[in-house]
Amino acid sequence: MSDILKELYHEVILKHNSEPLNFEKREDATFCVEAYNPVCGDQFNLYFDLEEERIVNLSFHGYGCAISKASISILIQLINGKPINEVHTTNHLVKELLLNDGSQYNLPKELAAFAPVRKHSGRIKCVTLGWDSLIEFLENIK
Amino acid sequence: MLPIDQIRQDFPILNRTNKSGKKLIYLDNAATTQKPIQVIDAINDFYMNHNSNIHRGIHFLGVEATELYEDTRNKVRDFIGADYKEEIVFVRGTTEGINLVASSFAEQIVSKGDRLLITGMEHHSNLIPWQRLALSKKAHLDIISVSDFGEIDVNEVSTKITNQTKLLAISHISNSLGTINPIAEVIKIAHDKGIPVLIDGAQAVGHQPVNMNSLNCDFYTFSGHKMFGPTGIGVLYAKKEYLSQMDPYQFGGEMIKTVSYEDTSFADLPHRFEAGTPDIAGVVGLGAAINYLNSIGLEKIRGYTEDLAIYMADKLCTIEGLKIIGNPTLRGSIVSFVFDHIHPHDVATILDEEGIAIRAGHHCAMPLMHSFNISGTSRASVAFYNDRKEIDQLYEALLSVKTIFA
Repeated sequence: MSDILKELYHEVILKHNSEPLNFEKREDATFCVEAYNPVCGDQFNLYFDLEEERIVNLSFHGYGCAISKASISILIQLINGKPINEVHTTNHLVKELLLNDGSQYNLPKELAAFAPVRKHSGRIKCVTLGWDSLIEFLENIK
Repeated sequence: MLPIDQIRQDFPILNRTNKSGKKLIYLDNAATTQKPIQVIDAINDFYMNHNSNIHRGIHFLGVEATELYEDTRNKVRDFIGADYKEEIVFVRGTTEGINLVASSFAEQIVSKGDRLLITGMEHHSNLIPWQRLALSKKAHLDIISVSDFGEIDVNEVSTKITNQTKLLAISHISNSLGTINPIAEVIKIAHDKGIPVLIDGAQAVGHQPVNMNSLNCDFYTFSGHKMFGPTGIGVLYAKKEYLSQMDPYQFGGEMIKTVSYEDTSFADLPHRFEAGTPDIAGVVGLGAAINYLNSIGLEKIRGYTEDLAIYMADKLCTIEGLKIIGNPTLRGSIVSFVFDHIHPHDVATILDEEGIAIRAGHHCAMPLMHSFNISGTSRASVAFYNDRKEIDQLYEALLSVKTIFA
């Protein structure tokens, strides 16, 4: 495997792809957010409840590439149980990482794993799919 | 056998390398084909030496440009075995050709309660125009089913045609499965019941001989860029008897006879369907592509690429965990496949690193993907400049995809 591919398919990403966190449908969730990319057909649902402005019981289910799937799994690891404003802060870090280089921030190692995606412009949307969909939903229910 | 090494020299882009220095292996020919230097030179020569608008200039450039444009119309007529140059309408591509027929022909003949018939393997461009028409007319869109092999059953064509059916539209070759549809048989069945037929020939023209006279279809449309010509130009073939009854598709310059503030009479066929200044350089490039294909020979091209596509399908299906989607008796230059647990986009990214260009996704055939219970495939499609060595490299690269996701 080339170094570029080794970087892109970092072991953190491969692990979250093969063993995603909270990968389950939840019929009883208060909220269900669809994360859908019509260009490639990736389609996930994110399920969660809100308790005192905190996102709780966050799970997801659906189909997508290794990067979009791992990204949502890591989203869950980072924000499940956290206040909504932290979702915005972490989303900002994700964007900084992908659009600039984000090295001035002290990034969680799970997020840092996505840094090489910056060199593959066609795959940036894979990382942001879950984040963008969740943020848009949270903006709309304000 | 084709002189592949010599042919490859006509395609400058095949010398490209990717960021890692790997030589391009272009297997995305179903999306668009590469252009030989003869096509690039013809476009260049047009702008360098003949550029002018057509059908109006008295000056010598106008005459030359008009001749180049109209000569290509004759060339297209001969290339697809049509009878009359008036039956050749230049459009932007297959999508516009289908939309033109939907707007200017089907719009007139479809009423509430009528039916349109297509197959389940159509590209969105041969589905959505009919779906929209059916919705606006309160008509019905019937779908001929696709088997697990990726084929239609001609008996079903017969049973799905009712007294209300007004038009049948079908792809010559499926862009997502590679199936060559039995269109001659389908056209005959439809004609026996008095139904006109439109063929989406985007994946067929330039890859195998196509003859309007022997097919006897009513409408046939294709794109220049999928037959080694430029983007932005395509052809709608339509029988004169239909074309002469159809409304113009767009209005403006180039398509009129006389105009007053009150009324307009329209130009003769086919000009009344070519409003505005067309893509003249694109037409010239298309003509050069036809010359190029004729110099190789379409029978030879079909023989070579059929053999190569079968070699590819046979080789890929030996990879454990890889499943080929569609296993038609007659295959075009296309092979679609999926891995059990590896997403097509990850496959495409890993192959890209090896310099191998394929397409990943739903191939503009979402309903078909759903019917196979998948969201997309990886699709490798060959042309006459590809060879077995490249397929072997694809095979090796796919093994490395498996290793990464092991």
